[in-house]
Amino acid sequence: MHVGNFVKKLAFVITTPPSSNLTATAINMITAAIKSNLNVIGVFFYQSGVLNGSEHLALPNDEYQAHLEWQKIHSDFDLPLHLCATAAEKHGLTDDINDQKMTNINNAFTLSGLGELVELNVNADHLIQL
Amino acid sequence: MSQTDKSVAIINACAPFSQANAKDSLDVALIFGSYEQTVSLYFQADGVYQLIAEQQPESIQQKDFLKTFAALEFYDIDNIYICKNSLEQRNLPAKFCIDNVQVLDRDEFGMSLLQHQTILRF
Amino acid sequence: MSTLHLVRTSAFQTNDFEQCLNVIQSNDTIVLLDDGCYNLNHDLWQQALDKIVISALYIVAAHAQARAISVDDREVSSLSLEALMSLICETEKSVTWQ
Repeated sequence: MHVGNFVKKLAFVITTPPSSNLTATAINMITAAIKSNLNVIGVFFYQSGVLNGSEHLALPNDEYQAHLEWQKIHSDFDLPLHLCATAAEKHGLTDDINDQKMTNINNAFTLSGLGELVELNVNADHLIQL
Repeated sequence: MSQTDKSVAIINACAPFSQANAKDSLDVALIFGSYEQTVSLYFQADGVYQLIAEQQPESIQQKDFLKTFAALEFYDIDNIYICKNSLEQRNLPAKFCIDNVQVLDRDEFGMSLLQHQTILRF
Repeated sequence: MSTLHLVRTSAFQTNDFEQCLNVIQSNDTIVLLDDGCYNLNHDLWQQALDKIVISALYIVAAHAQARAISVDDREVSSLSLEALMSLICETEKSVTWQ
Protein backbone atom coordinates (compact mmCIF):
# COMPACT_ATOMS: atom_id res chain seq x y z
CA MET A 1 0.00 0.00 0.00
CA HIS A 2 1.42 3.37 -0.95
CA VAL A 3 0.90 6.63 0.87
CA GLY A 4 1.87 9.02 -1.90
CA ASN A 5 5.08 7.56 -3.37
CA PHE A 6 6.10 6.17 -0.10
CA VAL A 7 5.72 2.70 1.37
CA LYS A 8 5.54 2.76 5.12
CA LYS A 9 8.08 0.73 7.05
CA LEU A 10 6.64 -1.10 10.03
CA ALA A 11 8.38 -2.77 12.93
CA PHE A 12 6.85 -4.74 15.76
CA VAL A 13 7.65 -5.38 19.42
CA ILE A 14 6.17 -8.63 20.72
CA THR A 15 5.81 -9.12 24.46
CA THR A 16 3.27 -11.96 24.59
CA PRO A 17 4.16 -15.65 24.94
CA PRO A 18 3.39 -18.35 22.34
CA SER A 19 0.56 -19.80 24.42
CA SER A 20 -1.40 -16.56 24.33
CA ASN A 21 -4.00 -15.88 21.67
CA LEU A 22 -2.63 -12.33 21.63
CA THR A 23 0.41 -13.75 19.84
CA ALA A 24 -1.78 -15.35 17.19
CA THR A 25 -3.29 -11.92 16.61
CA ALA A 26 0.16 -10.42 16.24
CA ILE A 27 1.18 -13.08 13.72
CA ASN A 28 -2.03 -12.55 11.77
CA MET A 29 -1.53 -8.79 11.72
CA ILE A 30 2.06 -9.08 10.54
CA THR A 31 1.06 -11.58 7.86
CA ALA A 32 -1.76 -9.29 6.69
CA ALA A 33 0.72 -6.40 6.54
CA ILE A 34 3.22 -8.34 4.45
CA LYS A 35 0.52 -9.61 2.11
CA SER A 36 -0.68 -6.03 1.64
CA ASN A 37 2.83 -5.22 0.41
CA LEU A 38 3.69 -3.20 3.46
CA ASN A 39 7.35 -3.18 4.33
CA VAL A 40 7.76 -4.99 7.65
CA ILE A 41 11.42 -4.48 8.54
CA GLY A 42 11.68 -6.55 11.69
CA VAL A 43 10.18 -7.96 14.84
CA PHE A 44 11.71 -7.56 18.30
CA PHE A 45 10.72 -10.03 21.01
CA TYR A 46 10.81 -8.77 24.60
CA GLN A 47 9.59 -9.93 28.01
CA SER A 48 7.81 -13.28 27.68
CA GLY A 49 7.66 -12.74 23.94
CA VAL A 50 11.11 -14.33 23.81
CA LEU A 51 9.51 -17.71 24.50
CA ASN A 52 8.30 -17.67 20.89
CA GLY A 53 11.91 -18.42 19.95
CA SER A 54 12.17 -21.59 21.98
CA GLU A 55 13.34 -24.61 19.97
CA HIS A 56 11.72 -27.22 22.17
CA LEU A 57 8.19 -25.91 22.60
CA ALA A 58 5.61 -28.66 22.44
CA LEU A 59 2.11 -27.31 22.19
CA PRO A 60 -0.79 -29.77 21.79
CA ASN A 61 -1.31 -30.60 18.11
CA ASP A 62 -4.81 -29.20 17.99
CA GLU A 63 -3.67 -25.80 19.28
CA TYR A 64 -2.28 -22.83 17.44
CA GLN A 65 1.45 -23.40 16.86
CA ALA A 66 2.67 -19.85 17.33
CA HIS A 67 6.36 -20.76 17.38
CA LEU A 68 6.02 -22.61 14.05
CA GLU A 69 4.09 -19.74 12.52
CA TRP A 70 6.94 -17.36 13.36
CA GLN A 71 9.42 -19.73 11.75
CA LYS A 72 7.22 -19.85 8.67
CA ILE A 73 7.00 -16.05 8.43
CA HIS A 74 10.75 -15.91 8.71
CA SER A 75 11.35 -18.50 5.98
CA ASP A 76 8.59 -17.29 3.64
CA PHE A 77 9.37 -13.61 3.87
CA ASP A 78 12.91 -13.34 5.26
CA LEU A 79 11.53 -11.33 8.15
CA PRO A 80 14.21 -10.66 10.78
CA LEU A 81 13.14 -11.99 14.19
CA HIS A 82 15.18 -10.50 17.01
CA LEU A 83 15.12 -12.10 20.43
CA CYS A 84 16.20 -9.72 23.20
CA ALA A 85 19.28 -11.41 24.64
CA THR A 86 18.80 -10.30 28.25
CA ALA A 87 15.12 -11.27 28.23
CA ALA A 88 16.01 -14.59 26.61
CA GLU A 89 18.45 -15.43 29.39
CA LYS A 90 15.82 -14.60 31.99
CA HIS A 91 13.55 -17.12 30.32
CA GLY A 92 16.12 -19.88 30.12
CA LEU A 93 16.90 -19.42 26.45
CA THR A 94 20.53 -19.46 25.44
CA ASP A 95 22.79 -20.24 22.49
CA ASP A 96 25.58 -21.42 24.74
CA ILE A 97 24.26 -24.17 26.98
CA ASN A 98 26.95 -25.29 29.44
CA ASP A 99 29.46 -23.15 27.53
CA GLN A 100 29.35 -25.65 24.70
CA LYS A 101 27.69 -23.52 22.05
CA MET A 102 24.57 -25.64 22.17
CA THR A 103 21.37 -23.73 21.73
CA ASN A 104 17.74 -24.06 22.72
CA ILE A 105 16.73 -21.19 20.47
CA ASN A 106 15.24 -21.88 17.06
CA ASN A 107 17.51 -20.67 14.27
CA ALA A 108 14.84 -18.47 12.70
CA PHE A 109 15.54 -16.11 15.58
CA THR A 110 18.60 -13.93 16.13
CA LEU A 111 19.77 -13.05 19.62
CA SER A 112 20.08 -9.29 19.72
CA GLY A 113 20.78 -6.62 22.28
CA LEU A 114 18.15 -4.10 23.36
CA GLY A 115 19.89 -1.70 21.00
CA GLU A 116 18.17 -3.50 18.14
CA LEU A 117 14.89 -2.11 19.42
CA VAL A 118 16.32 1.38 19.10
CA GLU A 119 17.49 0.60 15.56
CA LEU A 120 14.06 -0.65 14.57
CA ASN A 121 12.47 2.45 16.00
CA VAL A 122 14.84 4.71 14.07
CA ASN A 123 14.40 2.84 10.80
CA ALA A 124 10.68 2.20 10.91
CA ASP A 125 8.03 4.79 10.17
CA HIS A 126 5.86 3.10 12.75
CA LEU A 127 6.79 0.83 15.64
CA ILE A 128 3.83 -1.19 16.90
CA GLN A 129 3.75 -2.90 20.28
CA LEU A 130 1.77 -6.13 20.54
CA MET B 1 24.13 5.88 15.12
CA SER B 2 22.23 8.68 13.40
CA GLN B 3 20.15 11.14 15.32
CA THR B 4 16.46 11.16 14.77
CA ASP B 5 13.79 13.65 15.60
CA LYS B 6 11.46 10.84 16.54
CA SER B 7 10.69 11.14 20.22
CA VAL B 8 9.81 8.16 22.37
CA ALA B 9 7.35 8.06 25.24
CA ILE B 10 7.15 5.15 27.63
CA ILE B 11 4.04 4.72 29.76
CA ASN B 12 4.53 2.92 33.06
CA ALA B 13 1.25 1.41 34.14
CA CYS B 14 2.27 -1.32 36.60
CA ALA B 15 3.23 -1.29 40.26
CA PRO B 16 6.91 -2.06 40.87
CA PHE B 17 7.34 -5.53 42.32
CA SER B 18 4.85 -8.22 41.38
CA GLN B 19 5.67 -8.03 37.73
CA ALA B 20 8.91 -7.30 35.95
CA ASN B 21 7.28 -4.57 33.88
CA ALA B 22 8.77 -1.72 35.87
CA LYS B 23 12.29 -2.97 35.40
CA ASP B 24 11.75 -4.02 31.80
CA SER B 25 10.41 -0.54 31.10
CA LEU B 26 13.39 1.14 32.70
CA ASP B 27 15.79 -1.02 30.67
CA VAL B 28 14.08 0.18 27.50
CA ALA B 29 14.19 3.81 28.64
CA LEU B 30 17.90 3.56 29.40
CA ILE B 31 18.77 1.91 26.10
CA PHE B 32 17.03 4.69 24.16
CA GLY B 33 18.82 7.20 26.37
CA SER B 34 22.17 5.55 25.81
CA TYR B 35 21.62 5.86 22.05
CA GLU B 36 20.87 9.56 22.57
CA GLN B 37 17.24 9.23 21.57
CA THR B 38 14.79 11.61 23.18
CA VAL B 39 12.74 9.65 25.67
CA SER B 40 10.05 10.80 28.11
CA LEU B 41 8.52 8.76 30.88
CA TYR B 42 4.88 8.77 31.84
CA PHE B 43 3.51 7.16 34.99
CA GLN B 44 -0.19 6.35 35.20
CA ALA B 45 -2.54 3.99 37.07
CA ASP B 46 -0.57 1.65 39.36
CA GLY B 47 2.60 2.81 37.61
CA VAL B 48 2.60 5.81 39.93
CA TYR B 49 3.60 3.47 42.76
CA GLN B 50 7.00 3.09 41.13
CA LEU B 51 7.91 6.66 41.99
CA ILE B 52 6.72 7.10 45.52
CA ALA B 53 9.26 7.81 48.19
CA GLU B 54 10.47 5.59 51.03
CA GLN B 55 9.82 2.21 49.49
CA GLN B 56 11.94 -0.61 50.92
CA PRO B 57 12.27 -3.31 48.28
CA GLU B 58 14.94 -5.12 50.25
CA SER B 59 12.20 -6.16 52.70
CA ILE B 60 10.93 -8.52 50.01
CA GLN B 61 14.28 -9.54 48.58
CA GLN B 62 13.90 -7.21 45.66
CA LYS B 63 16.91 -5.47 44.28
CA ASP B 64 16.55 -1.76 44.81
CA PHE B 65 16.12 -1.06 41.13
CA LEU B 66 14.69 2.24 42.23
CA LYS B 67 18.32 3.27 42.55
CA THR B 68 18.50 2.70 38.81
CA PHE B 69 16.24 5.71 38.42
CA ALA B 70 19.35 7.71 39.21
CA ALA B 71 20.71 6.52 35.84
CA LEU B 72 17.94 8.45 34.12
CA GLU B 73 19.73 11.67 34.89
CA PHE B 74 22.98 10.28 33.50
CA TYR B 75 21.28 9.71 30.14
CA ASP B 76 19.50 13.05 30.18
CA ILE B 77 16.11 11.50 30.63
CA ASP B 78 14.51 14.29 32.57
CA ASN B 79 11.03 14.53 31.14
CA ILE B 80 9.21 12.52 33.76
CA TYR B 81 5.49 12.94 34.14
CA ILE B 82 3.04 11.52 36.59
CA CYS B 83 -0.74 11.52 36.39
CA LYS B 84 -2.35 13.58 39.15
CA ASN B 85 -5.61 11.67 38.95
CA SER B 86 -3.87 8.34 39.42
CA LEU B 87 -2.12 9.73 42.52
CA GLU B 88 -5.36 11.08 43.95
CA GLN B 89 -7.24 7.85 43.29
CA ARG B 90 -4.62 6.09 45.38
CA ASN B 91 -4.47 8.75 48.09
CA LEU B 92 -0.81 9.36 47.37
CA PRO B 93 0.96 12.60 48.22
CA ALA B 94 3.27 14.06 45.60
CA LYS B 95 6.40 12.78 47.35
CA PHE B 96 8.71 10.96 45.02
CA CYS B 97 11.92 8.97 45.18
CA ILE B 98 13.47 11.02 42.39
CA ASP B 99 13.59 14.70 41.48
CA ASN B 100 12.24 16.20 38.27
CA VAL B 101 8.83 14.57 38.42
CA GLN B 102 6.16 16.76 36.90
CA VAL B 103 2.62 16.20 38.11
CA LEU B 104 0.12 16.66 35.27
CA ASP B 105 -3.63 16.64 35.43
CA ARG B 106 -5.53 14.27 33.16
CA ASP B 107 -5.82 16.62 30.17
CA GLU B 108 -2.22 17.79 30.32
CA PHE B 109 -1.01 14.20 30.73
CA GLY B 110 -2.83 12.99 27.62
CA MET B 111 -1.85 15.97 25.49
CA SER B 112 1.78 15.69 26.52
CA LEU B 113 1.91 11.93 25.96
CA LEU B 114 0.36 11.98 22.50
CA GLN B 115 2.86 14.47 21.11
CA HIS B 116 5.46 11.70 20.87
CA GLN B 117 6.05 9.65 17.74
CA THR B 118 6.64 6.28 19.34
CA ILE B 119 4.69 5.27 22.43
CA LEU B 120 5.40 2.07 24.35
CA ARG B 121 3.59 0.90 27.44
CA PHE B 122 4.66 -1.49 30.16
CA MET C 1 -1.51 14.64 14.51
CA SER C 2 -3.78 11.81 15.57
CA THR C 3 -3.15 8.57 17.38
CA LEU C 4 -4.58 5.12 16.88
CA HIS C 5 -5.38 3.29 20.10
CA LEU C 6 -5.26 -0.51 19.95
CA VAL C 7 -7.37 -1.79 22.86
CA ARG C 8 -6.75 -5.47 23.55
CA THR C 9 -8.07 -6.09 27.06
CA SER C 10 -11.48 -6.16 28.70
CA ALA C 11 -12.42 -3.25 30.97
CA PHE C 12 -14.23 -5.77 33.11
CA GLN C 13 -10.81 -7.27 33.88
CA THR C 14 -8.23 -4.45 33.83
CA ASN C 15 -8.22 -0.68 33.75
CA ASP C 16 -6.29 -0.41 30.47
CA PHE C 17 -9.31 0.85 28.53
CA GLU C 18 -10.09 3.40 31.24
CA GLN C 19 -6.49 4.64 31.02
CA CYS C 20 -6.85 4.87 27.25
CA LEU C 21 -9.95 7.00 27.57
CA ASN C 22 -8.16 9.24 30.07
CA VAL C 23 -5.51 10.24 27.51
CA ILE C 24 -7.43 10.07 24.26
CA GLN C 25 -7.86 13.19 22.12
CA SER C 26 -10.95 13.95 20.06
CA ASN C 27 -9.31 13.32 16.68
CA ASP C 28 -7.93 9.90 17.70
CA THR C 29 -9.08 6.46 16.58
CA ILE C 30 -9.96 3.44 18.73
CA VAL C 31 -9.69 -0.14 17.52
CA LEU C 32 -11.10 -2.90 19.70
CA LEU C 33 -9.40 -6.23 19.16
CA ASP C 34 -8.77 -9.42 21.13
CA ASP C 35 -10.53 -9.15 24.52
CA GLY C 36 -10.90 -5.42 23.90
CA CYS C 37 -14.01 -6.40 21.95
CA TYR C 38 -15.81 -6.99 25.24
CA ASN C 39 -15.59 -3.24 25.92
CA LEU C 40 -18.43 -2.67 23.46
CA ASN C 41 -20.74 -3.71 26.25
CA HIS C 42 -19.00 -1.91 29.08
CA ASP C 43 -20.28 1.36 30.58
CA LEU C 44 -17.01 3.01 29.48
CA TRP C 45 -18.00 2.56 25.83
CA GLN C 46 -20.34 5.51 26.28
CA GLN C 47 -17.27 7.64 27.06
CA ALA C 48 -15.72 6.50 23.80
CA LEU C 49 -18.90 7.47 21.96
CA ASP C 50 -18.89 10.85 23.69
CA LYS C 51 -15.24 11.64 22.95
CA ILE C 52 -14.65 10.14 19.52
CA VAL C 53 -16.64 10.46 16.32
CA ILE C 54 -18.28 7.12 15.42
CA SER C 55 -16.40 6.85 12.15
CA ALA C 56 -13.19 6.58 14.20
CA LEU C 57 -14.41 3.68 16.35
CA TYR C 58 -13.56 0.22 15.05
CA ILE C 59 -13.72 -3.42 16.04
CA VAL C 60 -11.97 -6.38 14.44
CA ALA C 61 -14.81 -8.45 13.02
CA ALA C 62 -13.24 -11.89 13.47
CA HIS C 63 -12.36 -11.14 17.11
CA ALA C 64 -15.92 -10.03 17.90
CA GLN C 65 -17.35 -13.04 16.12
CA ALA C 66 -15.09 -15.43 18.04
CA ARG C 67 -16.52 -14.00 21.25
CA ALA C 68 -20.20 -14.02 20.15
CA ILE C 69 -20.23 -10.23 20.33
CA SER C 70 -22.76 -8.77 17.97
CA VAL C 71 -21.67 -5.58 16.33
CA ASP C 72 -24.06 -2.68 15.83
CA ASP C 73 -22.63 -0.64 12.99
CA ARG C 74 -24.30 2.48 14.34
CA GLU C 75 -21.85 2.31 17.24
CA VAL C 76 -18.71 0.91 15.69
CA SER C 77 -17.31 -0.10 12.29
CA SER C 78 -16.03 -3.59 11.58
CA LEU C 79 -12.53 -4.25 10.30
CA SER C 80 -10.72 -7.13 8.73
CA LEU C 81 -7.07 -7.49 9.73
CA GLU C 82 -5.98 -6.23 6.31
CA ALA C 83 -8.11 -3.14 6.80
CA LEU C 84 -6.63 -2.75 10.27
CA MET C 85 -3.11 -2.72 8.82
CA SER C 86 -4.19 -0.08 6.30
CA LEU C 87 -5.65 1.97 9.09
CA ILE C 88 -2.40 1.68 11.04
CA CYS C 89 -0.53 2.96 8.02
CA GLU C 90 -2.87 5.89 7.63
CA THR C 91 -2.31 7.02 11.19
CA GLU C 92 0.96 8.56 12.26
CA LYS C 93 1.32 6.55 15.40
CA SER C 94 -0.30 4.09 17.70
CA VAL C 95 -0.37 3.11 21.33
CA THR C 96 -1.33 -0.37 22.47
CA TRP C 97 -3.41 -0.90 25.59
CA GLN C 98 -2.85 -4.46 26.79
